[in-house]
Amino acid sequence: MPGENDWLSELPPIVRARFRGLNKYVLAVLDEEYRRDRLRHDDIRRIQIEVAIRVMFEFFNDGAEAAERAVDALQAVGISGFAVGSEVFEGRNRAVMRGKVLAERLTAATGSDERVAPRTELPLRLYILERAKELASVRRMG
Amino acid sequence: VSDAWVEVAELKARLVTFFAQQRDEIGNFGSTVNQTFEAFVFAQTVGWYRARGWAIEVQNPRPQKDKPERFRLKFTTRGRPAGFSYVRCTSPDGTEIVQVRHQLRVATRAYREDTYPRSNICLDVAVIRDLSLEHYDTNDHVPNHQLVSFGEAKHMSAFAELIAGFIGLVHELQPERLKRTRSRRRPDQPHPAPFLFVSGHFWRTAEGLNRTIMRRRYDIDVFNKTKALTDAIKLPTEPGLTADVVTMG
Repeated sequence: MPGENDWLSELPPIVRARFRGLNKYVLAVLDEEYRRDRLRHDDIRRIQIEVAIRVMFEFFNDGAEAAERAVDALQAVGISGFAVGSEVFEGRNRAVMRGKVLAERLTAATGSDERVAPRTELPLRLYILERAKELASVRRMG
Repeated sequence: VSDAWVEVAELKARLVTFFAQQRDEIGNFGSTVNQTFEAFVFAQTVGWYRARGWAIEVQNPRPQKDKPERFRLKFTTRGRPAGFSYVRCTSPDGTEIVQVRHQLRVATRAYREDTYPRSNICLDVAVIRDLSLEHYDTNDHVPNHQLVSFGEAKHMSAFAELIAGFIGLVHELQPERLKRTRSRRRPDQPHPAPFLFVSGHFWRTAEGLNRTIMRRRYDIDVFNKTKALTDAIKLPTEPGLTADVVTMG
């Protein structure tokens, strides 16, 4: 049976470290609020993976947002863009938009648009607790 | 199952496929995302001055033979400052000039010049007085008394230890900021206070520490995303604007 974090191993090492510990974070939040006992193992796994997708989605979007704003803010002071190594960030070029494209592809790949994306407004902790409540309620109703 | 949005195993499989297909793109993204955030924070610091009527002048390094002049941020602790761009800001009345630099090495307050090993820290964003760094080597530092303010950019969520580390940084560079300086009667400051800017959330441990910082009226700011990064990712570039950021005091 694959390990809890087997999907992590598919990530390039440069971003992998960011997502380690997410599963433990979910467990910690559930434990702190005494919600873990009300959930089945499968429910917890589901919350963990939803959280992972959401955090990943935000990571891509936030990076794109930072790139867009960096470019715009520099443009406001007369600088057309900047380079990181050979990668040039300018206007809305591919480098600037890469995070957005990845977020869209992630959404398309996981179908997370309905379940996760709209709820990114909810702080992560609340999101976890909200999902725990929903899933526990589903269990109760049978 | 009513909430069976999709089976966990299936979802994991899709994720794994996604990572495999997008591996190169994610690698490219991951290798530039921190620097992008630093560039943003650098630009926002310049914007802070611009919004207050300071004149902005971009200074690029002297171009190499046959190559055009270009804007070049540092993105690493290594390198001569003169090899990189900076922004010169002149106050509206022309009496004060500061430079906004990227990844600049600055001596700690307690360091005594000409002693070894040296004690200095490379700052993500440093605001210094207007001085020539033309002959500075990669290991040279700007004397501490030339430091006006500084900022640290972290493309991550904040936890208590991260903020505590930033307070330690302030203690080493500008310890006077860690006194009860923020009172209601305090006039508007001509420069931004030292700040930590995280792109992500505050974990609960960080929230707790932040509250104690506010209570102690430290002259530092911690910015983060409150609702969504897209709204929050800005320094208060308009005078008096502090919305969407967490300010200390």
